[in-house]
Amino acid sequence: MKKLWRSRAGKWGSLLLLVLLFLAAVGPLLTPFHYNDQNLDRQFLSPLQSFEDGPVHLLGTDNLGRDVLSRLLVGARISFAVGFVAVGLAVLVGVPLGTLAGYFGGRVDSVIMRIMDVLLAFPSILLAIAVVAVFGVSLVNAMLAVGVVSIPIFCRLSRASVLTIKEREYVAAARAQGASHARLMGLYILPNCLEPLLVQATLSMGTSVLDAAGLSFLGLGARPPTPEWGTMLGDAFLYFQRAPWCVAAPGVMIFLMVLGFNLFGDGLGEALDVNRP
Amino acid sequence: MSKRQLALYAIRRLVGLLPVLLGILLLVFFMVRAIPGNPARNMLGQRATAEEIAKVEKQLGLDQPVITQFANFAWQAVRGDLGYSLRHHVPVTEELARAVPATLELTVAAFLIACPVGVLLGGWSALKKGTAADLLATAFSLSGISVPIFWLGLLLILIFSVGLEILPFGGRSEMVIPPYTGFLLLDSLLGGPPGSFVDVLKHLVLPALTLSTVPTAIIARMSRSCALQVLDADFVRTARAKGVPERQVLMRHVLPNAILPVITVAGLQFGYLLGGAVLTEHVFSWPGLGSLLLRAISERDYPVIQSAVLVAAVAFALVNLVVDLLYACLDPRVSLDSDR
Repeated sequence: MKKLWRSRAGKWGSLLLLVLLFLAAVGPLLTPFHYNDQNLDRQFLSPLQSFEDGPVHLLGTDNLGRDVLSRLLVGARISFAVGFVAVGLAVLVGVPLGTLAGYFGGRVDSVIMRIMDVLLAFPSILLAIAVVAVFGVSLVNAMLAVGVVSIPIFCRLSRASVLTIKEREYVAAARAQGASHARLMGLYILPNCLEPLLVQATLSMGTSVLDAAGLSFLGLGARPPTPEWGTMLGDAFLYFQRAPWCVAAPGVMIFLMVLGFNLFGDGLGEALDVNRP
Repeated sequence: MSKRQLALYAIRRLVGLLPVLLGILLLVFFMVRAIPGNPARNMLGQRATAEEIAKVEKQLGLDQPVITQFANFAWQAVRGDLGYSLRHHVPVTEELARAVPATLELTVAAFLIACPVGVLLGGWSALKKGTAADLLATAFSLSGISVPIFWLGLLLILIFSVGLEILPFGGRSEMVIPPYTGFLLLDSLLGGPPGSFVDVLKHLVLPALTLSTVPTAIIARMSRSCALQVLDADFVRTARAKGVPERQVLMRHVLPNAILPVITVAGLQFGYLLGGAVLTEHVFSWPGLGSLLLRAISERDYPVIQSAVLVAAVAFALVNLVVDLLYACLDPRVSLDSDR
């Protein structure tokens, strides 16, 4: 923890993420507007304007007169959820597969790694688009698609760590004492592979948020009126000359969140002394 | 290494590519089969008659056993026959022939921006390590990998097209240019009306800049860390101690040793560009592979979706192969006996 704080990237990344987490948690409770409250009388109010004697719209309103700030704050919750769900899926599938491949080697290894090679053969966003095209457009499918795309990264990384760790003496000692394969993998090998995986998970959160926002922007993720940042940008794309603030705001939020995860990941890498993959 | 060794290596890598290509084909094939419900009905919509559905099923070969279907699909794909668009009733290859050059032109332009800028930025920031310049360059590359490029594209349009009105904000050209190669820059030189080259170039600037952001940033990060490692190496210290001029130290000793990992990363980035082009093309109404794919998805035109994904994946795999071969050519230390 101390080491993380000492690195410049780690410090700024943690701060940024803490602020965003705070905004996501309590922000929507503080704004005077509901995020889906439409009112065509107050459409396209520019930032800092208020409608008649009502409260000020700090970031203006969109084409349906909805308060942009309120929507952004709810969107922060969605983006955090996207990051956790997508990376969670990738870790839950990729790490066990990679561990099995590294531990058993031989045919198990070749089969698993060839499948990963095929997944890696697709440019990531394209694979995600293909997954969504097959299973239908929704936020959940977009999260899953982005998660599937990251599986090979975690699989390869855990395999590489397992390959080095399984040669250690304490593993050999445990094996000599008659520990089962499952026990060896779960108790002795995997816990010692966690550091690079943790760093990669943080960095992947950023990419996932970015990819999911991209899918939503293309109309292949969250559907309107969900205040997902990519969806908001996709909407604002249609009238971006009329209301540039509707374009600026969600983009800045995506940027800050991804930057936060990237900085935090870099800092974590420095603190744990993990070479970036 | 001898040329013969290199050729053997190339052949072995090509053979190694076959299972991956087979996997790509399988995945793309099962994409359509994985659609919940009856694929033909899904494509045609709820109002389709039984006859129409039967016709599409026959056209897609869905009435045959899965193994036969896959064998047919793979055989046709290998021969370059990708079927017909369900909506536009033209061969998919015809649509691809229009879209692929547009995407290639865009990605190559972005790549040509990303490589030199990334390497220079990274190298420069390594030389100035710890100074404000280094901090600025690092901040730039960190921002580059964090920024949503579709948003950046919109901002560039707002600034340069809407605000300053100096660059167009979409499409490939305002003029009618006879399509010889499909690469408009080339076509405009070969037989376009006067001024068409400049017009095409102007249309290319913003999308190419947008698309190049992420690769530039990644190449810069990689170049910086590689350069820092090499600058610390013993042979560089020795060269400096011998009194070799700094310029020569950089060009003869640092650059050749630092550039190798950068080439690998740069090659991978070319693949990223193929994917990232989907977003950029959407923002700039660029009529390439990405736009084709998005249109096909909205029209549920599955043969087109399959083919677009297939083409991009195969291109990506080939680019990776080329990068590996290039690496083997350039680095005498690469062991040609082991595959990876």
